[in-house]
Amino acid sequence: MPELIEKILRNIDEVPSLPISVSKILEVTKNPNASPNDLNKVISLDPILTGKVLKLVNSAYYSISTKVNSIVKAIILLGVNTIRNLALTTAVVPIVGTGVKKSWLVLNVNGFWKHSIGTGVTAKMIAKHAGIDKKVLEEYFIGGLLHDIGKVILDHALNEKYSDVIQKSAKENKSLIELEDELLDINHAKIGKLLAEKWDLSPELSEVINFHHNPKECNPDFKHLVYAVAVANIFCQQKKIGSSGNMSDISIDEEILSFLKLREEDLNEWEKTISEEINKASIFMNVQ
Amino acid sequence: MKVRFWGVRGSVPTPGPKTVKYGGNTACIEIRGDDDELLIIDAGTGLRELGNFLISNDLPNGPLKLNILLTHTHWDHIQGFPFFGPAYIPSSIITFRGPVNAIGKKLDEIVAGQMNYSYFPIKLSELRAQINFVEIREESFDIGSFHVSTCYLNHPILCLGYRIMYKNKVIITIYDNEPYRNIFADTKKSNSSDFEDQIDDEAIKEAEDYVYTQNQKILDFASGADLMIYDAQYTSEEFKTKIGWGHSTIDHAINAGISTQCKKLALFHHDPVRTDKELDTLQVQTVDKARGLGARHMVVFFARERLEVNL
Repeated sequence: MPELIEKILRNIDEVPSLPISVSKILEVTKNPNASPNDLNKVISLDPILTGKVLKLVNSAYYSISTKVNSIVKAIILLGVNTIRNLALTTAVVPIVGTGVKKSWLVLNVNGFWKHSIGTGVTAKMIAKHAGIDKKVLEEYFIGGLLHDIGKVILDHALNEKYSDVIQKSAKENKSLIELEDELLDINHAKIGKLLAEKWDLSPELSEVINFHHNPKECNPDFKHLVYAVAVANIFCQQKKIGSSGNMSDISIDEEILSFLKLREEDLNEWEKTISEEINKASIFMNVQ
Repeated sequence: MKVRFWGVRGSVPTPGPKTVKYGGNTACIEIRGDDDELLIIDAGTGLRELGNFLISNDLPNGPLKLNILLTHTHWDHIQGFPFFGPAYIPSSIITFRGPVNAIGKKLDEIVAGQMNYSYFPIKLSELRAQINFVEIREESFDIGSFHVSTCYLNHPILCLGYRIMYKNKVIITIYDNEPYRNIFADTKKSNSSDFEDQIDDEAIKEAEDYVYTQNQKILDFASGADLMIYDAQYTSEEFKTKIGWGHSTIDHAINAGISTQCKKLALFHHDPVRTDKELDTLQVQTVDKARGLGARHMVVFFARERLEVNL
C-alpha cells in the first residue's frame, strides 16, 4: 500500500465532527433527559457523527448479527443513554484532542454539510418517488449524507496538498475525483469505502460511498440505492446546493434516470423543497 | 439436569417475615448437569448460600471450577460475589462471562468496583481463587457439555438472555427485559416545527417496524424451552408507571411462554414489594389466566428460593 494511503488510514479514527453542529450536539447529548427524537435528529444531521455512532454499534464490540444502518434502530437497540454517551464521546473527544480550526483547512465546512444533507434529502425523495419500502427510506438519506465522507478524511490528513487538488479542479474545470486519482493516486470514494469497511458500516453504505461517481459498476443488489445517491449528488452540484469541492460540470446519465423512473423535471420540481429542508435543518442545528 | 433457584428477587434483597416462602435474595440460579457439571447464572445475593452449598457438597470431590454467566452488571446481579465462599479458596477457578457497553468500565473493573475499600474490606485482587473475566456479546460458546447462546435484551444497560442446551434439554433466561416499544412515538413533542415533525414521523414509522423485529427476535431465540425463566417483576397495573425501567409483567411472561411453546415457565425477578401472600394469590390467578389463553400443557409457577426443577 502506498505510504500516503497508509498515513491517511492511520489517522482515520481522528476525524473530527463537523464544527458547525458541535454546539447543538452538546446541547442535546449533555441533557440527561434527551428524548430519542432529539437524539435522532441531532446525530442524523451530522455525517461524521452518524458514521461514528454506526461504527460503534456495528463494531465487533456488540457483534450484532444484522447490521444497524440508522440511528433510529441504534437507539431502539441500545437505548437512549448508550447512544447519547456514544455520541457525546465521539463528538467531543476528537475536537478537544486536535483543535477544530487546524483540522478543517480546505473544505468549506458549511458548504460540505449542506451538500451532504442536500444529497441525503434528494436521495430520499427519489426513493419515495419510486415507492421504495418506508422501512429502508432512511438508508437513502444516510447514503446521501455519508457519500463524500472520504473527502473529510483527505482534508484532515493532507490539508494543503488536498487544497491544491481542489483549487486545480476549479481552475481547470476538471472533475475532483479524476484529479485526486491523478495527483494523490487515491480518491475520496475509495478512501470513504475503506473508512466504511473499517467502521463496519453496512455493505450497502460502503457500496454507495465507493460507487457514487461510477454507479454502473456497483453490485447489482444495491443498484437502486447507489443510483439514487449518484443522481442526488450530481443534482445538488448542478443546483449549487451546498458545495462539495467539485467545481466541474457534470450531467445525469439518462439510463440511470430511466432505471429510477425519474425525469429531470421531477428533480427540478423538488429543488425548492430540498432547499427548504436544508434551511430547516440549518435552523435546527444552529448553522449560520 | 437440575435447576436450583438461590435468589429470585429483583432490584434489592428483601428479607423479612413477608418474604419467607419465596425468599428475599436477588438473582442467582444454579444449573447442574447429570455429572455434576455446573453453571451459575448471576451473582446476586443468592450466590452466598450457593457458595456455602458448593463448599459442603462439591469441594470434597475436588477443586471448584465455576462458571458464572452474568445477564448484566446491575447491582442485584453481582452483589453476592464478595460473600461467595469459593472465591476465598486458593484451588478455586471462577470465570465470569457477561456483557458490558463499548464506552465505560470493563467487566473486571465493574465487579471489582463493588469491592473498593470504601465498600468492602477485601479487594478483588486479594481473593485467593483464580478469577477470570470474559466479556461476551451475542454469540454461542460451549462450557463443558453446556452449549450456550446469548441474545441482547431490552434493559437500561446491555443485558443478555441465555439459551442453555444440555443433552437436548433447553433452559432459557429472559430477564431483565422489557418488551421493546416505540419510544419515538412516546416522546414526540407537540410543539415542534414542521421540519422536526417530519423527521419525527419518519422515525416513528421506522421504529415501529424495528420494534416488532426485535421483540420477535427474542421470541425466536427463546423458542421451545423445557424451562424458561422470565422477568415478571410487575403486574400490568404496576407496569403503567414503570415503563422504561427495563422489566416485564406477569402477562408479558405468560404471552411469551405461550408463543415460544415452553414447557415450564418460571416467573422470576419478583418486585421487592411483593409479599408471599400476594405471590400465592398471583400464582392461582396466573395459572387460570394461562389456561384461559389456551396454555393447557405449560406449567407456570413463581420461582422461589431453593426450588429445584428437574429436566
